[in-house]
Amino acid sequence: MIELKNISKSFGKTQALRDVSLSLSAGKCIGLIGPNACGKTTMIKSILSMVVPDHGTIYFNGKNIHKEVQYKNDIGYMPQIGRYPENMSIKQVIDMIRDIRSYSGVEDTELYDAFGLEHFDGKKMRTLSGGTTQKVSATIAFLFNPSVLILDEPTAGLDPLASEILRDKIIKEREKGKLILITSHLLSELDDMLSDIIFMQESEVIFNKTITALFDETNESRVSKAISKLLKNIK
Amino acid sequence: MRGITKFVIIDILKNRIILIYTLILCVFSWSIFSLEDNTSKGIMSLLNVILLTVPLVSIIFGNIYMYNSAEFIELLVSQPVKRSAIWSSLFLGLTLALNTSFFIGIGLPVLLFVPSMTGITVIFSGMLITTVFVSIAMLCAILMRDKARGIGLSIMIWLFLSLIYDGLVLFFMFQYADYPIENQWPSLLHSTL
Repeated sequence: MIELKNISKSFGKTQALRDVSLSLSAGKCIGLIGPNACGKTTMIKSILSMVVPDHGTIYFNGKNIHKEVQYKNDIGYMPQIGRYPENMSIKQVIDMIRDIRSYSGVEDTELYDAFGLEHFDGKKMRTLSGGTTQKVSATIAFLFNPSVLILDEPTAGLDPLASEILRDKIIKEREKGKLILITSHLLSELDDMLSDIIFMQESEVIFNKTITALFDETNESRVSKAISKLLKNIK
Repeated sequence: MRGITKFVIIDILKNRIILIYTLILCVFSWSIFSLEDNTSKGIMSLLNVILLTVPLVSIIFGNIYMYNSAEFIELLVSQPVKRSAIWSSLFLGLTLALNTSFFIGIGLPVLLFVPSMTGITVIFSGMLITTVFVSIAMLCAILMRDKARGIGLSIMIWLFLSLIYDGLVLFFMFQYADYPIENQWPSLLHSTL
């Protein structure tokens, strides 16, 4: 569904991605993990063409995404730190994105209702707490039934109740056969969600395995332990 | 793109500075025309106001607005909108809002008191100045990542174009007064004003 071919990107002297090639197919729930500053967010942003790679091409459903925008209608993106126009209310932000997307199907307001955002509807974005902003980001990402969901640190800053709601929603969407790409540092949270794991380090993809292969290889049954074991072996 | 432009204009109107700007321009033009019996003299004084304040407000307001829209732009790039559409909507929103307030503040009084070709020329050049300085403001916002430097640069550009440039032209005019090309300078000076 999404294919990255030899993607490289550097910001000045720092290399953020070095010759990354990946193929992500529908129906998978992929965990993108790695230490800080290993290029996870840059990779996500280049899929969304928020960052233009220096080299390489990205294909979405077989089409080169260079200078395309329509493909983004199929992507729901939840940024790591959602930044919104400060003097717009939640309702205005959602309405504006509705206006831009001109989505004709039935909107998925499940998260909006579950998070109880209608109580904050008229509040300005600058007055919201970090967690509530995350809730808005999550709601927008799921709102238009996209076939691909890209979630950058989705549960960071959410209270336990809200992250449970989000987890359930992610699992539900996975069952519908969507491609879900999650980055997270909280490996314990990912256990029963993921089907694949991509591990990145120093701007490169170290491995890309299905979770069963990972467990078989390491004789572990938890993601966090399996990864640390595998990394020791690599070293 | 129309949707985004609409949001930009609503956002600009909401922060009320543009309304105060309209009001101030209104006060300027009405007081000048009611104090001065000779309307062509009045339009000359108004021209000085236009040449100093309009570029200043356009460049500073436009520049700060661009920096404040960083989040807005960031939100939109993750959505299916072309970058050029985002940029041109911002430009269109800013120029439309500033030109409208210029037209209400100065254009209407001028049309009332001096309904001639001169009046229309003044209005037209004022609107053109607004548009040009909004463009320069947007350019400064891209060139400088740092907000303070960007605003500083736009103030410098305003200072250069509205004061120093005229000074330079006058300086060269007097310096080269002995040379025969002198006759060319007044027309050049006139075109810069």
